[in-house]
Amino acid sequence: MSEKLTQRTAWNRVLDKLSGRSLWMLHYCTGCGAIELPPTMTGRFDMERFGIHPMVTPRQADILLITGYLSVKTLKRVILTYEQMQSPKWVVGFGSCTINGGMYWNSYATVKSLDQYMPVELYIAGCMPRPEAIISSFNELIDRIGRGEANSWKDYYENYDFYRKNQEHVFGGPINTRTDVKSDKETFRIQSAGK
Amino acid sequence: MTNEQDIINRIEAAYPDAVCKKKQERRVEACLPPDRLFDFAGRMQSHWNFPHLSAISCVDWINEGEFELVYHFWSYEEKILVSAKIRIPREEARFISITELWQPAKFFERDIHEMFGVVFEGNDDLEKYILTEWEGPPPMRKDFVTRDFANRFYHFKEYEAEWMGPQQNPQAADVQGGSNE
Amino acid sequence: MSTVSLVLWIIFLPFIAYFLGVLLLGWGKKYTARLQRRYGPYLFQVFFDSIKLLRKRTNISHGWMQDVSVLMLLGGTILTMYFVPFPGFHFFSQYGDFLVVMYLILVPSLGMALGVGETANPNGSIGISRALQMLAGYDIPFALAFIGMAMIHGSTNFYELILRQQELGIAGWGIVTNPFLGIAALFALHGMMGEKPFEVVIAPHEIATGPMTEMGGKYMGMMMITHALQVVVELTIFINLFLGGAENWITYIIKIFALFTIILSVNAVFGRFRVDDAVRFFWKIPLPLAVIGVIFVMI
Repeated sequence: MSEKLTQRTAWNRVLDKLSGRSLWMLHYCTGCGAIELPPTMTGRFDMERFGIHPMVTPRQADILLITGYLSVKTLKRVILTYEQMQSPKWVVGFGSCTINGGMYWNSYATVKSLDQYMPVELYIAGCMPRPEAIISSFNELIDRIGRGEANSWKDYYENYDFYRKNQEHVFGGPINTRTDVKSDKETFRIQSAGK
Repeated sequence: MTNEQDIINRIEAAYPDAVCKKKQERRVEACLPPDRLFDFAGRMQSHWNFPHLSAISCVDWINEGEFELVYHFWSYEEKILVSAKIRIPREEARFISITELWQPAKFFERDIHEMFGVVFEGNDDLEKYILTEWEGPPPMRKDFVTRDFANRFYHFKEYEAEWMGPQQNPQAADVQGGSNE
Repeated sequence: MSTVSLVLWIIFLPFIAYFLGVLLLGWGKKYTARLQRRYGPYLFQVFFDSIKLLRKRTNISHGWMQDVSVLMLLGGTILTMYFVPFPGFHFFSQYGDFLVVMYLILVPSLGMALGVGETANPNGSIGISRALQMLAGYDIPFALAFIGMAMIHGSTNFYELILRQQELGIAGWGIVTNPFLGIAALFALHGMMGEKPFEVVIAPHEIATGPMTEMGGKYMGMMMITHALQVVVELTIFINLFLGGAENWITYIIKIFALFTIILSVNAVFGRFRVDDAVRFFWKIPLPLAVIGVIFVMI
């Protein structure tokens, strides 16, 4: 079963390569890391040459870039945003804050590791990472999409209960995101990554 | 234009039990007994030309068992900031609200209520302000150890890399040391 | 025109136009990037975008009207395209096709209005109301330019008009024989394409791409395809009216790229007008120009 799922037809290989060339990025600028994005987008580093373009609405975005620390209050907004995005979608954690809290590791109000609350495809380590690091991580993501290996988004449909349990632990109660992830999984026939 | 000494003389004439001090250029500090604060604030606003309440801040003196509330008044014409300090007991802290004099004080008091647990009588809006998802004790109190809470409540990632060798992650060691304190 | 070649044209014209539209938009992105001293995206970026969007696995639909609106957009644009003569294809360009094009060119905006109304996103509603206000601005000069050209040549037929213009060479082009109408229509074309000074409808940093806010995945993919086609159709209408049409595909491609580059150059150096400023501009400059042009024609 898993053997069959991981095999791709030649047609899908071509399409995977092509769709990796167009990534629209929704940047959720919570922390100081957002200051590294303007040079990445504009003339100096120009990430548009890889087909990566900033996008303003979650419905159209493919990448959710979390730049910096997340307090409990902003995590709720991030989850709302993440569930509004259309699959396939990838979360990129930027900076050490998203990995283990960074310099806020002993704070009571910021969540520590982002991958407890949503599946993270890539982390960019550093405080803060330079634009070169962002570009290199996006190139890694493009490679993974081309190889058909960027399947972290399926994890949210697979292990939804795990993620929702962690989210509710932080918020201290159930939350209503208005997105029915479980029925989406049925409707759009999203199968597991076949690990 | 009055200078700092004039202000101090004026306050000491009206409130003999106040202790005033010139902290630096254009900064005056006045320590008052708590029951005179409302009267003092009203007089600052209406008589002495200090129309702007910049902020209310709170300091937790845990060893003395007291909260210190600091009211900052600013005068646009004199260009002097007067900080009125009062001390209230730390257990079941309550104090009178000055929202009748300054409407913006609502938010300062709401914030202090959230962070330190001081109840302001007369302020009808002491709902959650910034920490909307917070259930625990007021987090800015000194007896709330944020490091212990973070270690208990949040999940930390284990991180080991080949270049780090056999010894432990320095941050993880710090975390453990912190919880033993 | 034989039946076989007609059927082939009808089948392949949308694909040709899409390819051309992708090239035009890619050239536009590249050109703007080079003006901003950037390297710029791939030349076929719009094609990759559509592939990626059509391969999205999930789709949020707010109701059947949203599904229909996307089809209305695409269908309306393709239908308009058939009535506009391309070099080598003018079968539908018969009596009165002018009026048909004038009517059909409104169908996509109406389709979009219906669909966006269903999604109930406030940004989308703002975008649509702006789109319809802009329509009131640019459509009157454009309609006057249409009518003026029809009056000059005494015909409501695109193909006849092209032949008349081509008789005299460049001296017979609409923009030379009647510059007032030509310039008014150029302004109106700029507004119709929604390029930079008249970008209020999309306004990404202000109302989050306006009508497209709720359109994700495959809806957005269809809209990207429609956009590529619309660019070709609108530019071709202008070429046919004022630049003497095109004898063959080579002159056609030269003309369409030159015209688009003019519009892009304006786009690259301007900020965004507010919607009331944009409409006021259209009623202050292009509209009087168009009226003067029509008066010249009547004299």
